[in-house]
Amino acid sequence: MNMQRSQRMTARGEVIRLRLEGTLDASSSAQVSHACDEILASRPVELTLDLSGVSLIDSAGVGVIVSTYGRLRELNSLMTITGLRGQPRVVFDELKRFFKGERSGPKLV
Amino acid sequence: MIYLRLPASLAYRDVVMRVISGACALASSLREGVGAPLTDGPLEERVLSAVGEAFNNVVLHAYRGTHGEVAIEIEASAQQIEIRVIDFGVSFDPTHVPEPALEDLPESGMGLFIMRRCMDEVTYAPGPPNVLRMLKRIGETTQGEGVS
Repeated sequence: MNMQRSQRMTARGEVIRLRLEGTLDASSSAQVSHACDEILASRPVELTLDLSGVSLIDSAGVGVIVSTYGRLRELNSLMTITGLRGQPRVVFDELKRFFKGERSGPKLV
Repeated sequence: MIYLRLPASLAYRDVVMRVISGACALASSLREGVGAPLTDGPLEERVLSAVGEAFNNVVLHAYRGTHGEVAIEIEASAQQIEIRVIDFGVSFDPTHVPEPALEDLPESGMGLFIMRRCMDEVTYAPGPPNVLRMLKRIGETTQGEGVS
């Protein structure tokens, strides 16, 4: 799993973008979880997960995203997910109910 | 029938995914005839999602990190693709697996949910060997009928 992180400072605070590339599954989820831990430590106001380079995701990968979203919510921060296509799009479409229940849930772009 | 037998290790997951992709391409070509695209996006994406979860379950739950083998049988036709995932690990009763409370932001337990949603039929027969059977009809948009 390749990851590229960038950040910019806004009037609201720090906005971080994390681009993932490869397969986000049970084998790579710990690596991504660690990267998200580091990001959360800086208490960003918003995290954008760019999944345009993710070809495959499984429930372990979704679990990392859900966990990160839950902790961002505790910080009153936002999560945006961009670049969903192919198999990851299918999985997130099936999990729509999970996002629908959240009024301020991750924004899927 | 396509038959695959391999160690129950996440290191072999990509091999499984590639074979499943090939089987979906085969099913699509049987349906569409020669000259059809090599892959059928929605079919392949749904079947890959379900089989990936099934393989994870065998590695992480049935064998719980111990050594073991998993066999995968694939039957592809113009009408459907049927996959059986067979293992000799610890059985589990899918009827005792509750649907995740998605509103509570679960971080685990979504594998079976994804399988149910992506396939038309999912059944499980405890063993040994344990046999998880998944079926996807081709050309239908029906959703999963659940585990029985």
